[in-house]
Amino acid sequence: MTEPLLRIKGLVKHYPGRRRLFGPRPAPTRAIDGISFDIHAGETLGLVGESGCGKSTTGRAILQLVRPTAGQVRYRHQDLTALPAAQMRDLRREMQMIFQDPYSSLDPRMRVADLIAEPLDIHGIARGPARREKVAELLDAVGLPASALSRYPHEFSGGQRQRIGIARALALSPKFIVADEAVSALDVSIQAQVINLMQDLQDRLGLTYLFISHNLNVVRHISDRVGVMYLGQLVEIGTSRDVFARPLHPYTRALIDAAPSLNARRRERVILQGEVPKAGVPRGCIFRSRCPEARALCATDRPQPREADGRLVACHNIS
Amino acid sequence: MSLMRLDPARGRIAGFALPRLPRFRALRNWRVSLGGAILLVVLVSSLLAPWISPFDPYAQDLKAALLPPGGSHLLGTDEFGRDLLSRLIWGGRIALLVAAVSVVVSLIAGLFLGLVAGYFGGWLDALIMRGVDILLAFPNFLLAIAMVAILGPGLANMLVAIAIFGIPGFVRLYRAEVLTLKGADYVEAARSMGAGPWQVIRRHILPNSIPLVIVLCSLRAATAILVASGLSFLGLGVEPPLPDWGAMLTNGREYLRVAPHLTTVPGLAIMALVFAFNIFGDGLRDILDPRRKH
Repeated sequence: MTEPLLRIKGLVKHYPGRRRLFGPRPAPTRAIDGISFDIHAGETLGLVGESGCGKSTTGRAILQLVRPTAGQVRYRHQDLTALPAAQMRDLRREMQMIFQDPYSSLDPRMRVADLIAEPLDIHGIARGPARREKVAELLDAVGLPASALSRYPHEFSGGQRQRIGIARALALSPKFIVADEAVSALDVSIQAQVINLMQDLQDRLGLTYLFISHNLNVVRHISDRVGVMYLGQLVEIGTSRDVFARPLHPYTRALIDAAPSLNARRRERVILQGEVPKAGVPRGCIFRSRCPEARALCATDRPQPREADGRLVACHNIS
Repeated sequence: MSLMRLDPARGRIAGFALPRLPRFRALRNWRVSLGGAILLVVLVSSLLAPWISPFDPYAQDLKAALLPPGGSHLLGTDEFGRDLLSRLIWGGRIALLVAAVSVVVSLIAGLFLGLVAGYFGGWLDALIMRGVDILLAFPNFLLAIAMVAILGPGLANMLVAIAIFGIPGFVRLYRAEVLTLKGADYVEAARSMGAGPWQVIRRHILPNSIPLVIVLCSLRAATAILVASGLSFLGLGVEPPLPDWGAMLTNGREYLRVAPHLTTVPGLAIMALVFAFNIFGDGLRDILDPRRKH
């Protein structure tokens, strides 16, 4: 197999607890607790999981927007985590981000032309006519009229604003794009348009996406492979078809069962009991407090991701 | 007034996009228009003082001392027979000078320190903010008095004292604004595009903080004038015979019963100017508050 575009190895991001005047230092919040996966060139890797499981932090840690506590992010034989800030800034031309909130991710005081050209301006790439031409081209690529150029973001709808955000992300001709809940803030009808746009652009420009979302239907539609996260760990990762058709990890099963579906004749649903553990992560399997199949082993040993049925699953009950 | 020219569609100051302000909307706000009108009157009369003041503000005429308002001396004369209206007009220059110096110093130092503390954080933030806390722990006015007492009275020393003690409040408020703006998604977006800290500050933080800066400046001007008048009133500021509103107030005090206009007129002038700066700032804040938009 060819070398993946990105290879994430043992990525960890802990947020230290706030030190109190008296008493022990509280345990750090483990936003990402040692995850490893590859992202191959040209694919869309979906990342799903419930709120607070570390999906967004993972995306940001890969782009070094938050510096990981430990682990490696290898991008074309370079470890991004070890790169000095200045070199990382240059590399950012190749990896961009699409944000969740199309309202707050666009500076309200900048006009669309300047918003889209911002990456060009930051890197001092195109000026004058070349800049205008590039902006017009990008605007056209995301299906916005040229009349949008001199207007301000608040004059646009959510979907249009997200198109502006996509145009901005494309300005530097990146290879890799992290889409962090890129469509979650949009109306359902608009979501489909934006996703189709993203897929078109992927086909045309050979982009690689890390598509972070809590919306399983969207992820299933757009992703080639899917990773499922729970409490900062990756519990299952495999092709989209496999994971959705035959989820192996009990958490994946519960997650997929919880998603609304029009399919009336479905098997017994797994409904999770219990709460997400609060302070730190318990010993053993992180999911055992809510797992319907937990055994004694799950309380003592943390399951490592293992190859099973063509994918990686971290569960003692799968072999 | 000058706000009419802040047409956002093409207006840019020093490379920053200006806040969006529909033409004339600023004038529909009564605070802005009333405050602006008073400021305009003071500004124009101060600039034109040599030409519009009816008498020499220093010319004494003891025969015409303590005249009541009316007649050829429109606002009357003081104990030396100096024309009160002329002194009032010339005094506006000092009031505006105090305001301008204080605003410029607070603005430059406050912006810089607030940006560094808010954006970069860490030990620099701690250092700057503890310094600010120390200055803020003392009453502004008392410190200005103490400083002038050390440096000695006089216009220049008073300007220094007032300017320096305007900085901490500005730093604290501006730092809070920077912290808010720094957390915005578009700042993270800029970082993800590869913008360095100064690029983020120049492209996003500064332009988005312009409304707050305008408001802080106008409120700072009002405070500076009030403190300056107070210092002059206590004899620690402008020295006679310079025509200063606060000093005029002190002189007139002794003649309160025979010539009440000597205290009333400069007192009203101080009040009007401070009031004007305050409501002007309030009004601008209302107009420029981003939460009022969209």
